[in-house]
Amino acid sequence: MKELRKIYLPVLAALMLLSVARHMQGQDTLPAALTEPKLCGEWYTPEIGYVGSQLFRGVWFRGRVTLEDGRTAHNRILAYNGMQDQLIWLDKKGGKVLALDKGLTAGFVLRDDKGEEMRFRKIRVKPLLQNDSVSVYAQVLFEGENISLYAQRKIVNDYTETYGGYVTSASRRFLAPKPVYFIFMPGRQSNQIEKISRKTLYAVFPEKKKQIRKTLRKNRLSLHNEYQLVRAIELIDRMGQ
Amino acid sequence: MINLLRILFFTLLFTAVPWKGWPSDGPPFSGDGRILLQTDRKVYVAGENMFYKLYMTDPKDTVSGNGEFVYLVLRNARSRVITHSLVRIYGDRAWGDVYLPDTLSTGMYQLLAYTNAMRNEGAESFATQEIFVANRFDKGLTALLKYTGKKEDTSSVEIYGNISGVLAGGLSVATEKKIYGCRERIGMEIRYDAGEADPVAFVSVSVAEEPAFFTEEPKRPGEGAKGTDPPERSVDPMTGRRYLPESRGYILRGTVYDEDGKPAKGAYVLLSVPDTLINLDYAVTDSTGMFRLLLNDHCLGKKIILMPAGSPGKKIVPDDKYRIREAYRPTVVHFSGNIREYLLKSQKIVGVRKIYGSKYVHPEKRRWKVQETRPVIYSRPDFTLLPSEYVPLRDLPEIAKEIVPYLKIRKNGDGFEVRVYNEKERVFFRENATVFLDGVPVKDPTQLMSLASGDIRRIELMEKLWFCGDVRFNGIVAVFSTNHALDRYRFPADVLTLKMEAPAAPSGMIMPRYEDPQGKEGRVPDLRQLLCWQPDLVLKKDQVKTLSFFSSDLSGDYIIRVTGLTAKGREVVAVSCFTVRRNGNEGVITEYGGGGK
Repeated sequence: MKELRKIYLPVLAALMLLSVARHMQGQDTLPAALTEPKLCGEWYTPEIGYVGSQLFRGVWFRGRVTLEDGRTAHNRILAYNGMQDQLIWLDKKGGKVLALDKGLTAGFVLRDDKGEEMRFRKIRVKPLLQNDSVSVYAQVLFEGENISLYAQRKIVNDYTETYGGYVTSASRRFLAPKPVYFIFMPGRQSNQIEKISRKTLYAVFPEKKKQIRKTLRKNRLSLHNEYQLVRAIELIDRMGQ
Repeated sequence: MINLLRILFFTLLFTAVPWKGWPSDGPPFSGDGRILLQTDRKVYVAGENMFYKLYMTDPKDTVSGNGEFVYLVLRNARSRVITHSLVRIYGDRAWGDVYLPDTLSTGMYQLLAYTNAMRNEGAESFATQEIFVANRFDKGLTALLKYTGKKEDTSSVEIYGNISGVLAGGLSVATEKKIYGCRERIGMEIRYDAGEADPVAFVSVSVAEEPAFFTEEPKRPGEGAKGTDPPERSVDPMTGRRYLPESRGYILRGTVYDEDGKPAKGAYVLLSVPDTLINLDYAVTDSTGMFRLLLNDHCLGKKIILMPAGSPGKKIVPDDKYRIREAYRPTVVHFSGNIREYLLKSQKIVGVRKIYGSKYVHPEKRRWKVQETRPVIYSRPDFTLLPSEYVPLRDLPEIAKEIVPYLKIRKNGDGFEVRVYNEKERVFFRENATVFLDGVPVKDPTQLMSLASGDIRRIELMEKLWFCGDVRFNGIVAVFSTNHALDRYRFPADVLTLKMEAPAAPSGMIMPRYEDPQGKEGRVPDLRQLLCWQPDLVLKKDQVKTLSFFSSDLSGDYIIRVTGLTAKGREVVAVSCFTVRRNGNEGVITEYGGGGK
């Protein structure tokens, strides 16, 4: 029995691989060199003089990039620089790191080591105290029928530590993630939330304040973290239907 | 457990190992359709338009909504390509027309239709159709003796009258009457009596005065003739194929040779299209020197520039998709009735139509969505200058010196140094910037130096170390001219300029209608031998479609041919016939149905 297994199992594994490969080849397979778009960007130079990582979660991910013309570049090593709002591509074969042209990129997907995918999209927002709207990369947290919630994974200078004497003082700037949330509703400007609380949520939906309070109570939902914010937006979106 | 393993083993064995041909031929692509080709007639006079219809029996509907490209070639008995056309199959059907040049000599011609992927299997897999073309001025028609076999005594009406209904296969066609007058409305009914299993049929309808045409022994292209070209080695390592399906766009394929004439491995081939935006794509050659580029609609119908990167002396040889290795050997044909009389009459008719300038072809709206996106290399330049907003300056170095602070142009020996300021490093690049003229990279910027302010629409600069995939730019200087300066630019010998063919727009036939008495009595002669060409008719199970058209001023015997494919790829055919007489209104009225007998 064991010997038979020894013979059959490797053969089975090989046949399975062959079968999958054949199936994939039947699916209009064109060489990747032909179909994959060429990613364009500048040589990446991170800002220096900071303590802490400027990258989202401090790591590189496997992922894909969707361009404005609809084409997708697959299986690339990517990172998101939250400080400079840049998508970075590590081209191991070419020996270079590029900050991709934001104007040509529509969005990207990062896949963490658990296989979970985080979808980012380029959105146009009007930041507080600014006149013009700007394009930023933001993670898609919820996209409902009426309401969408995005998070810009900003990394900011959290605090500065100054040391040394009066004449020869030096400072160290520490980085920390500080996400900014954007709520989109049809026919209305984007709403920016920097602090997650019931109060900020009521400010976004003043006309539904009572209803929201009732719904949150009914679902025993407090608002302190991102997960709860996503859940609350999901409930508000359902209310609007 | 062992039994389970055994079952699994044999199941996988059947699914993993193909029955034939793989890996030598490569696995089947979902884009490998088979094509059926139909024409409105089989006998033409040079100077006429030939209408065609194409079906793909195994279409590949892509995500983009664009179908495959089909190459349509007309070649003569000596296998010389007379004309060709690029046709885009949208979904599973396409139609259009091909103009038969006036200069064609009398004889047999072959029309071929194939996709790029079909070229792997050779002309054996192509759809073919043989036609006979008579030159308009060839009154002797000696070629008839060369290609025709014994002449049938019976007329085409007698032949088709006898077989109508027999060929039907679920399809039948019938006219209201058997005899019509000139400029009279002709109504016909087409019925598709199909079973539940195959409820839809797509057909084309042709009504024409022509002799019946039979081939003696249908031959596949290349049968009995051997290809002269050696087999190509450049197959794709992943797919094991030379020619890939074009369901995602037109594939430009070619080979790069180095200065010694050997295939250049790992050479970069840059592709650009003259435009108001900088655009660039590139491909790297494989071990056989072959490269492939997937072009989008932006490149089709335009001039494209292909250039090898790096050292000069390389040569780019593009693949000719219209080259067919296998020779054409015309088959012996049999015509019904007096073919010579018919051709002499047709020559006169076409001549008169030319004098009157009668046109029966009208272009139709494109059915496919055009992808006009350009492979641009940056979204926004760092610096843009419009020379028209400044005092006119005499040349580019002066413009750079006076009004572009981030650009340095210096004379260096015979050439010029073009350097851009690197805004990150805050110094000028040590290497020359890449210069683009009207969206195309140019290796020798010296020819641009004479451009004055009035010749330049705008100048764009990228003041960074910029990359497009593997291609590095030490700054970019893009000059866009006001007077197509690129047309006057002399590219080095290794640069190849190609005029890309645009897919032919679908076309149909203009069929005059004589409903009102004024039109009926019009003085411009209506000399159509083809009364009706309806390329795309969709028939549903047990549905009756009525079609009406008008007869022309020509009396004679006309054949109705309804041919097509069912949704499951089964061929359906129905034929019928009627006669047009000068005073034929007193014709016998018959009931619809009965296969047109």
